[in-house]
Amino acid sequence: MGNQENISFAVNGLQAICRKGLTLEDYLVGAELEPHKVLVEINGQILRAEAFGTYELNAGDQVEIIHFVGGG
Amino acid sequence: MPTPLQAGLSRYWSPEQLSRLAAVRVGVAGAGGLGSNCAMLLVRSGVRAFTLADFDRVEASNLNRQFYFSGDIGQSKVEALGRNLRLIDAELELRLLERRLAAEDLPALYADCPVVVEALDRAEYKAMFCNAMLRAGKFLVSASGLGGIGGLSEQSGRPAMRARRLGPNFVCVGDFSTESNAANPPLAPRVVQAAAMQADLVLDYILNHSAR
Repeated sequence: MGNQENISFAVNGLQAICRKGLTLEDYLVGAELEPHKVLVEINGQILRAEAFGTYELNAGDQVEIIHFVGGG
Repeated sequence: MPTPLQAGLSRYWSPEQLSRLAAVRVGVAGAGGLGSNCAMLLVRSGVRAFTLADFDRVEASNLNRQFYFSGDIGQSKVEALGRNLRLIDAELELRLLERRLAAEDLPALYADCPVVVEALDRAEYKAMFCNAMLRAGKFLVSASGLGGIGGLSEQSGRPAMRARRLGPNFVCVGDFSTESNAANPPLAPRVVQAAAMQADLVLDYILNHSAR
């Protein structure tokens, strides 16, 4: 308790908090977003889907997530 | 001799604008409610070269919103779409791909399309397509959330459609929440609204933002 550092970042313009070292994939799963249905931008750049499991969120990251819904 | 559409468009576009529109091949993935209508709107606006892909055939349940007619039922969507588009302009340059799209094939299939429209139906296909096309350096216009009715009425609780940009080369339109399903079926007004937003973004990119 208390020895784990938390960081603050933004998802779709809203503040979010997680423990340091959390990967984007961990975040998506925790937020009940399906990694195979999203497109993610971090700090202005699209993050490749292959990098979801290795990208560790940083304090101040500006994350934009589109979670696609079906229909065309 | 210009086609009637080309002659008519010269009232609205300059020769330079017409030649810019004619010089770009637009890729469209999916020829359903989004893709068939987006292609139709782009043809009417002066785009003349397309690569159109869909594995499906026209069904009666498509006629409520897609750019097909009762005589097209049972036919390949891309074949029927090509024929219907040529009723607007007989001299289009169309590459028709009657096939499913796999991520590894996409860069080659759309190699000569600097602009690509994501018009697929399932969420995971949309994400797969967008991730693959952005890696290939395309300008990509996608859509998410277009089921049901009532996006313009405050009582509906449904968000209005808008456009979201991610990165320098990607725009997605839609309300971002209303999946097409039994409760919110895909109906012409909002499906065509999304397709029209996609077409407008493509035109704006070709005429105002692509390299000359």
